[in-house]
Amino acid sequence: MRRTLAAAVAALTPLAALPLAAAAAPQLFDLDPEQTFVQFEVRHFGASTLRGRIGPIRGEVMLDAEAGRGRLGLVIDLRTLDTGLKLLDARLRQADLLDVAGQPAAYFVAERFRFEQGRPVEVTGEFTLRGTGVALTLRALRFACLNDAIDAINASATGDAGRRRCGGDFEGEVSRSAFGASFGVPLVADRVRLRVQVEALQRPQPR
Amino acid sequence: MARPAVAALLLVLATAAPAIAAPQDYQLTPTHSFVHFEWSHRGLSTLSGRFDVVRGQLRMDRAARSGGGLVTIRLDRVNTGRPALDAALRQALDADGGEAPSTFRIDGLRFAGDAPAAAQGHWSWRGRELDLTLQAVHFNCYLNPLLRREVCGGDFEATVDPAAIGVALPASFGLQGPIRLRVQVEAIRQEPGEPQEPQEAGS
Repeated sequence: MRRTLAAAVAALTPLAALPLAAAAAPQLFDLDPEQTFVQFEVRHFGASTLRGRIGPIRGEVMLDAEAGRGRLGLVIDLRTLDTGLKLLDARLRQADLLDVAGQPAAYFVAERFRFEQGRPVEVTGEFTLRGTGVALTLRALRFACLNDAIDAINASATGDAGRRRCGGDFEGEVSRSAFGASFGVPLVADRVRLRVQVEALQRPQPR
Repeated sequence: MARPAVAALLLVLATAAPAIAAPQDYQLTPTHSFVHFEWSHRGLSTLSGRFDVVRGQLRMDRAARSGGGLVTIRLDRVNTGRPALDAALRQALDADGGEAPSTFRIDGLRFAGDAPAAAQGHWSWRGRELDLTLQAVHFNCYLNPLLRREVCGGDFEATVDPAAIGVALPASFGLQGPIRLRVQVEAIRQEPGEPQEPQEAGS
């Protein structure tokens, strides 16, 4: 599993050294940990929706809108799980659900991007949880970029001045039984909706 | 001989058939009652946060299609996963001096069939008050196998203008536009005369 991520990161790294032809080139981004979290949602007894937050998520993304290509590698630290109730967090961490002691991280590695009008609208890759990889497609609800220089206070504090910031909201669905996290199915639903908030800063170009 | 049978039948009916017109009391379960909120970050992505401590009682008569309740939301227990933002939110909500309970008083439940479609009420704390109607996204009642009690619950949503509740954050946080409230709630039916106190329910 770690090797999967390492391979993804290794595959991404050489792109930074590519010569850049204006804007039409692969652009590398680092996720902004302040704005990158995943929420899962699962229906409880057909009544209410149980939600939990995991993050911040670390990782990097390559976008090449012109070529319609992209790649991303994300590490999701399951120890950051927070439902708002420690009792519930402890239950969800157990071996029959997230198995955080056995596999403390989940991963999403994706190489299939679909662009519309220069924006990624769909990302398909492999989501690995509890050591099991399953295909996952995330769809963009919104996506946009701006120049981070307008946020003068933050930019000067973080050295992000002038960096391009892109981000949006993405959603996807998995069956938790596909990963063996089946406790409580079907009273607590098998289908889990993933709602991802993501923002990333473009990595400064090497000179 | 016939009496216990009738009593048992009535008990079954009371559980299975909400058509019997009588108000029932319900107590919110802390494990399945949270107020989530969503707020746009600079028009790019949507930040999610949550008030972690929500307690309260509801009264509902599904046959008569009426109800109300009193829910307490601890504003000091705001949790976005970002400590600096949490501190700024506590300050903006006037909730940075220890326990800061806010009250959502539900004056009326609007029904669609035998399920609530909306909860109308007032959200107030420290002299601030906001008329608030939560729309039901879905709702269900079920017999909880562990508690052996009827539990009713669902998801409710509303949109709030932060200016209307006097919430202003430093611009550097980049949070803008309306706040979307997404409320998860489940409540256990109470037996008559049962003490109304918070309990940590399982499942």
